Amino acid sequence: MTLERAIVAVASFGLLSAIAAPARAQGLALDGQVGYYSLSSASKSANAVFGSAGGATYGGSLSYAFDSGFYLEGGARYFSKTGQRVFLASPSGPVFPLGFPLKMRLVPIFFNVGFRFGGRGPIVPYVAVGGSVTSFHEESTVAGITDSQDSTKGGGQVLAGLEFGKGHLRLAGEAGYAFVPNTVGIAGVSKVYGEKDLGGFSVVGKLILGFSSRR
Amino acid sequence: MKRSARVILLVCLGCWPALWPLRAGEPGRVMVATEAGTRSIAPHAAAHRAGTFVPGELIVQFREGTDDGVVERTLRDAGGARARRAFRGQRYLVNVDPSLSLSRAMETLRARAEVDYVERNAVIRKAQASTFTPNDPRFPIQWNFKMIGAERMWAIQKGSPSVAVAVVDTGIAFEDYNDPVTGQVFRKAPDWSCRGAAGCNDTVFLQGHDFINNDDHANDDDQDSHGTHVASTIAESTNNAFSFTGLAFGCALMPVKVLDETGSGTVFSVANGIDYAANFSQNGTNPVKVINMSLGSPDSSTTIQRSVDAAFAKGIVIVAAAGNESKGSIDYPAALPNVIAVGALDARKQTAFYSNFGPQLSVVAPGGDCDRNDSGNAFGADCVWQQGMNPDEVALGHYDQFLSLGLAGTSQATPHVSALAALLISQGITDPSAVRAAIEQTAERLGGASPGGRNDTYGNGLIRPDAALAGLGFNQGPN
Repeated sequence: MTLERAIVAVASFGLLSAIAAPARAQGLALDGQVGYYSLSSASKSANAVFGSAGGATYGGSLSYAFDSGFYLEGGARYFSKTGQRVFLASPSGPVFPLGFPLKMRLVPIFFNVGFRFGGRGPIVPYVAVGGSVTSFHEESTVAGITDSQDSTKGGGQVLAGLEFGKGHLRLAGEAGYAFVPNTVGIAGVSKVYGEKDLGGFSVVGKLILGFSSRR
Repeated sequence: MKRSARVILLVCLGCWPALWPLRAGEPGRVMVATEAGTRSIAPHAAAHRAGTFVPGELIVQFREGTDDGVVERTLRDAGGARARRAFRGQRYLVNVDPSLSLSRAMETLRARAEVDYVERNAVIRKAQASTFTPNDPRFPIQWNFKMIGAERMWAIQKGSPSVAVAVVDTGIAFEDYNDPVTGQVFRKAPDWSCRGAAGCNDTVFLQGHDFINNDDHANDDDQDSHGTHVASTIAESTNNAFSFTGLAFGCALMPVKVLDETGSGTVFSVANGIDYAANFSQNGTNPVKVINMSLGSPDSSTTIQRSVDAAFAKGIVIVAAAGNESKGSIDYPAALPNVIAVGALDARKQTAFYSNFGPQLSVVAPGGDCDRNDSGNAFGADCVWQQGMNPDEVALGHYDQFLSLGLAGTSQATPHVSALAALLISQGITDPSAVRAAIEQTAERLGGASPGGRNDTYGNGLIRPDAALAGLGFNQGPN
């Protein structure tokens, strides 16, 4: 999914949801989240090095919802993959796995501003947009020598979700698209493919602990 | 007629001395090292060997201000028959009367107060070598392997016996064989085996072919041991506490003889050799993945190009020498599109004085310069040192005595790259274009070339096996 498509999807979701009244305030909430993240913007590089672009992600966030329907959220996620160093001569050339282990880790810390719809019903749609600071770490070992690389880059994300339930414990499903531009593409496989963004598509499930139950 | 010209010009690059034996400083000069020391050999010019003296000649240095009359009387009294004054100072080259003892004449002169010193007039070759006698494994001598980071390379990859390099050359001293027709006695060079050492594997040889004598015994009868030397750089037995090391010592070798004992061959024989290697089959597969051609000609040949292209299409990496004429064009077959053309560096990491250059130059590797010792190696010369046959014995038709042999040339640079190609294939890069790209992309840029760039003097630069073998990470490498 491209960034443009993601924005369009979230905007459409927001417009459709706007016919509903804003959800009433829920105050402070804490959630744990587990899901799937795909390095959609660097999928060729990821497929070459890891064999696939996606994998499990998990994290958590703290949010505060206002009576107006707006809410603020801050949290972090963790995503990692293991693969191996490879060689490829050109973007259209074959990929040759070399067998040297490689690990990559992404830790985005994100801040969102969102809007919750749905009035008093048991299902609350919401949309959000925000920024992030993503820590990138890559480490590979060739014959006893480990080469590691760390960088921290700014980015952003758009997301939409549905929250279920009205008590202190609630569930939510959320889809989003993140972008972390100019993080890779300086060397290695990502340079060969010309992929610079570590962003991508994510789908997560959330278990929410509300400190005040939603009315 | 045209074809004949090509035949004549297709010479082994390391065999220049056979054509110009007295041309000092030619890259193909042969150095030998034995337990008695190191010496230089000019094939077919043994009279010019270092370590000898000009018969009947003395150099006499008189003290400053000695009267010319005194000089004349002193020299005559000592038995001098003829004298010639040096360009500067009171140094004389004296021919002693042949009927007199030279040592007696020296004693007489040394006893005179006006004489500073006396010594015999020794023969000096430009490549006068050190007499240092190494008695430990020869790897410290191999400055060229250090230059390309061989120790780190071996930590990554030592080569697979399922990957073979065909050495299309003068043959290899790879077997014990008594030729029933010629009576020639060939012996396997000693450093193809582990000699009982643990942690070592004997060098594996595939069935080769001799296209000069048309038999299956591709033994080396070249006075420079050219093919044996090249093959030793690729896969001399290593970690056996004996002699030298080879870069891809875990890989197999195939001897393919296409050059005769003078280092010369023909388009026909070379093309035959390429075809043989490219179509070899063992257990249904062809283990030959690399063809090393330390040979060349200034003229292109459709026959050789067809053979090269066919071999490349079969997935074989072809590596050839750029040539030793210090000219701005690359020899064939190196200049062909499907061949990796290799130039030579000396130990200073500068282009060797003889190395050809041009737009087809792919990379450079150590080729050495026997007239220098910038590496400070114990043999006293920056040749590429490997095992070889004793040139003096080969000249007598004996192919059974071996020693440390130093050669220099793009012939010697080429097997460094062939070995790297074999290691890359062993590591898993099986496509010849990708192997070439890995070698070129990871090379150390020289001569002011920008990162990722090239120039005609150094091509893409000096090979870096460790970087090539390490490949690429997600956002890492070449290292």
